Amino acid sequence: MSLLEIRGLGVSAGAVPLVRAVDLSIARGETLCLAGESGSGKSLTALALMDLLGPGLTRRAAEARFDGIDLLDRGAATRLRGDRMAMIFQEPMTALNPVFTIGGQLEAVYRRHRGGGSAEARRRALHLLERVGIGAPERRLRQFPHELSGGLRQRAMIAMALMCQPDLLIADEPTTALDVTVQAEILRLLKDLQNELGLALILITHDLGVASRMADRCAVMYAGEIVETADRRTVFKAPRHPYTQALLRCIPVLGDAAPGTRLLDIPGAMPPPGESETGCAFRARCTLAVEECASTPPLKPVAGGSARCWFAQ
Amino acid sequence: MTLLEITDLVCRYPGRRRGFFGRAQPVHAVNGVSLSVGEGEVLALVGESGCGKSTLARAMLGLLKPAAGTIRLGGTPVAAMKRRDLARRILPVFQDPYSSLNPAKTVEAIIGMPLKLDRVPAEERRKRVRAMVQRVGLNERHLARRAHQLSGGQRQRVAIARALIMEPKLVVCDEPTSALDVSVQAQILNLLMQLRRELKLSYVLISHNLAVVERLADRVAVMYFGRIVEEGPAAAIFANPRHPYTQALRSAVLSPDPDLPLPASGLGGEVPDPASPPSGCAFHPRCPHAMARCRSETPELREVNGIAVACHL
Repeated sequence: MSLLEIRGLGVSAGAVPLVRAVDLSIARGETLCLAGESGSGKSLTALALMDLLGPGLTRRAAEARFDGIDLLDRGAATRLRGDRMAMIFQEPMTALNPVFTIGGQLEAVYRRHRGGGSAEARRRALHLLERVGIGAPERRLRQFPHELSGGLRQRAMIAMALMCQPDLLIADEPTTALDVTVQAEILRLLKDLQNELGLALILITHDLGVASRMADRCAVMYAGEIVETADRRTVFKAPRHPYTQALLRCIPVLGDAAPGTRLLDIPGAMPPPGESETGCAFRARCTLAVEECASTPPLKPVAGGSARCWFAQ
Repeated sequence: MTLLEITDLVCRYPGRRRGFFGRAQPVHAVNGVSLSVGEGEVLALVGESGCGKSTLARAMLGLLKPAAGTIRLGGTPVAAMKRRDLARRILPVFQDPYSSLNPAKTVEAIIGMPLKLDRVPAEERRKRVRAMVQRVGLNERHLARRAHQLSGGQRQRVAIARALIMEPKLVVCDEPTSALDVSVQAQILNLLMQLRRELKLSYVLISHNLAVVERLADRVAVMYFGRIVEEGPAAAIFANPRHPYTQALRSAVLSPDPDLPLPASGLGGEVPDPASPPSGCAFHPRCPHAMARCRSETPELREVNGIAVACHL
């Protein structure tokens, strides 16, 4: 049984659709990667799940259930958020409140959802800071976000997300702002915590290298739609959608080609929202495009997953 | 033939004052760096944020006055050159084409500005701007547009055109593709490789992406905490990194391969605080091979078989 089940999720700004017809499901203990380039709608999809869309943005869905609870009911979404569904962001400096201590912010989450005294909340905060690998947690609890380095801030953010023992953690580009050597540690920490706590993890990333190592399943987004979804091996070894195929060929891989060798690129850029009303959104950049692509392809089942392309098998 | 030669360069920033009456301790962002770039050569500077690579680039561009050491361009000390002469021969392409282009000006005005400052007549200016626009893969339609009407990749093309319009010998590319999506990154990398061949350019390429560096660079200098810890031919360094820091950077690269696991663990810890530098080798607190000697004695950069390494091992 899946923990989260979404059918036909859409986000729009007025009449302009930004995310269209997204279906997602994730089971306990599973990692789902939402991969795609900037503007593909992967962050909006996550914010819509958490009911955290900014002003002017509206969401709708045919169905959205979290462990049997209807997420379209705003009250339910508010109760779940921060409790059973938690989220961490790319830049912990902007996600944490600069005028409260780390301890204060961690404890506030716990007391809001669990009630109880501050002693219990503090014990839990200490335990979690230690668990996410922050040394001298007593001192860190009293510090403000700006006193911590980027890597430590992201660890504190993860501890905060875990305060209420969530079932689902959404991580939006959690390592993009960090250096590569720190990135490896944060990814490892997320994996360990997931195994330990049985978390369902939705990892949003533009970095296919990260997705290829972390995901159980991967959904590739383009121009507000999921264009391909499959298990990790299929997506990275035998992708079915021309966009996924082209994207993987664009990435320079260490030790893969002689210096100076041309990279394959995808000409053009992703169409801005509202400009690709009908047909396949990728057809202008696709080498396989034919007349038929002017009509919108469905996300159809293919070997190993599903792909939104008339030619995918 | 050496184009750019840097000898024992030291760059300092005023540090934070300790207490109201305390004196500011200067922070050494670049601490005794010697490097050279040959004609037509691509030298890459790699390292994590805060290692001093961007400070070094700013010093090369004459945007920052070094505290000690010399930078020579074609044999002439940069310090003795007029600002304008320097700006004709060594030019930057920055990471973020959103903030490095004037939003109020058209593409034609942006690319033509250096020529205008050089009192090139309007007619010739028009001709040269048009030729340059073609060269970087844009067309005349783009000339009347402003930065916000262009995609990220097109903006970076404009920034490259602006850098090349004065026919410089050396272009300093500071993370030229970090702000771009992978499909567009490939386009820009291909363009940089093509322009290098056509115009016999030298690049100083600053990047944290080792796969990008491997494609473009002839030589690599790895920086840590203001010093070069390893330097040599790119192929040799990637095939067999000697310094533990280079090894760590190398193993933190995540190529999109679903069959590979996450790297076992990162380095642990983070770049030290520049206000209180560690004793001996600056890398010893994070180094898996640190010995007693590393804590007391700063290793010199020693050259063996064309590769220079600063490590006691």
